[in-house]
Amino acid sequence: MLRHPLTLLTREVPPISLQPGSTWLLVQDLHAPFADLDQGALAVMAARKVVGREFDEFAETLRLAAANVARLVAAARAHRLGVVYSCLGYESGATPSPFQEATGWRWQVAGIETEFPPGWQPLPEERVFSKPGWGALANPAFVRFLEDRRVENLIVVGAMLDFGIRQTCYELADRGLGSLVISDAVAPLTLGAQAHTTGNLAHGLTKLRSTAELLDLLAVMRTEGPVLV
Amino acid sequence: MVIQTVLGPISPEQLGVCLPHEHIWCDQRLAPRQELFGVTRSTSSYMKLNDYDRMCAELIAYREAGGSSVVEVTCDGWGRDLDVLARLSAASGVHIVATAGFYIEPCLPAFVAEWTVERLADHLTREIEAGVGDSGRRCGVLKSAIHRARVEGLELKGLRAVAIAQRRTGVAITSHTTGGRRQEVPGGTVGVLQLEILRAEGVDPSRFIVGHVDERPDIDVLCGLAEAGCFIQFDVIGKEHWLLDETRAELITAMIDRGYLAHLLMSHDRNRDHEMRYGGGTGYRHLFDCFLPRLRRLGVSPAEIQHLLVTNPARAFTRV
Repeated sequence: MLRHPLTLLTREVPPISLQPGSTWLLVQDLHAPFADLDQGALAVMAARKVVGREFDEFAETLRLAAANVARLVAAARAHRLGVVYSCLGYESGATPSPFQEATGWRWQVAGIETEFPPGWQPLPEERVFSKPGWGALANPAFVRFLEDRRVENLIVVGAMLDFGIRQTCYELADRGLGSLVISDAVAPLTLGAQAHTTGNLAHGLTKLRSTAELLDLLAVMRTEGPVLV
Repeated sequence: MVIQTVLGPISPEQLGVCLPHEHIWCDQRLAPRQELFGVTRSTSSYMKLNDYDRMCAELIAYREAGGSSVVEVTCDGWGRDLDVLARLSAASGVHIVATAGFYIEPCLPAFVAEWTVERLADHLTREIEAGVGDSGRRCGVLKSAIHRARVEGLELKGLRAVAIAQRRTGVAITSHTTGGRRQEVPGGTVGVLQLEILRAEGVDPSRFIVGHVDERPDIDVLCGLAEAGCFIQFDVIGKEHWLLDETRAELITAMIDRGYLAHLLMSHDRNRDHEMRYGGGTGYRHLFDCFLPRLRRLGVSPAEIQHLLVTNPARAFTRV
């Protein structure tokens, strides 16, 4: 039984304002190592160790989330929200981070043409940051990117909800930045982990909304200006 | 002074032991805007109870445990069926009160967006005064449900229509308060915000039942709502992923000690197969088999339990 007793004492998550400029869409860990369910690093490692079935729930939710991610990336661009990518891995010419060495989750983040499915492939002007640990803000360049643009909140979609996305939300909260996780555009490793993680995240740190709700909100933003969530 | 059931009016004395917030017949797969649920889950996890024979057996088991009546809070939009409820009531011997009003945004019928508040209020009033559709079967309570962290949009429109219908008919308003977004709402229950709007619309707070308070309870907020005159409904008893029953029992006892016995209601909000006895759960008997013993151990007297199970529901659901 999943319980969240800290929520009985934690203050309410404050509202966040969605508006172009200060609100960005973060696409996290949806590059080939996680998103390619046939040839990606996770799939290959699992198959080699004959534990692929253990990732069936991940694959199932990723497939369900994929269509929503593509819709959200397109909507963000249409509504003039910035789109930015953060991907576990190290950049060309760099070496694996201590986290990557320790865990074995180590690979180079290479050209975007081969790294991303077509549905959410970055545009040339959109930045892709490597991620040395689970959280996106482990990369100082990404932190500077957010600061330089005075980003106030991030809409978060992606894979590895129970590891990377959770960690990113913690890191954003530490810096006073808001986060809005799109509950049907994130993929956890297991459905149980999804319930537990979203419960913990939603209670005190971040907000959860569905793709359909966010699309409704963005439509309001376009006609009426900033919207509070 | 009557309570309207699906088989006709009864006197408050006939209501007996009452569960004020349950589902008997519902199917969330029928919800018009399921995409708003926003969870990558299979439809098997949706709220659904639609096996007639099994639900009849559940109601009979409830009656055998001492139960007499159930307020069925499924609204139009996801499977409400007063004819089925009437058959179940007749077969089981349990009084069933049906609900007019609106559940959360994903479950709202399309007409809620299309009609004016006044027309919606007329529709609800008709379901209380004349019956649902051509069935002649009347609802006995109104419902307002808020899914968002604020009262806005179609849910606000629905709440305003419910308020107008309440003033016309005198029935109580029961509520769904926020669900998964309770952590975004000051005080943990959007009931506080619903009450503000209802008051502004001229509704007497004593006709408002704040539901789901035991998902994220703050005893100071709950006492404030009771002080305002509302009913405080601990209605997810047995769902310990939100709160341990032990904690619920201590909260109810504490509220009794603070003088709010007359404001308290108790129920389970059963809505899925696995919660029912046929699915391995405790069904509508959980209160009797598991929860009342906890209250008794904490010193709640038989007279006080009678108040919680009989006296308060009778007052809540009697038209005034």
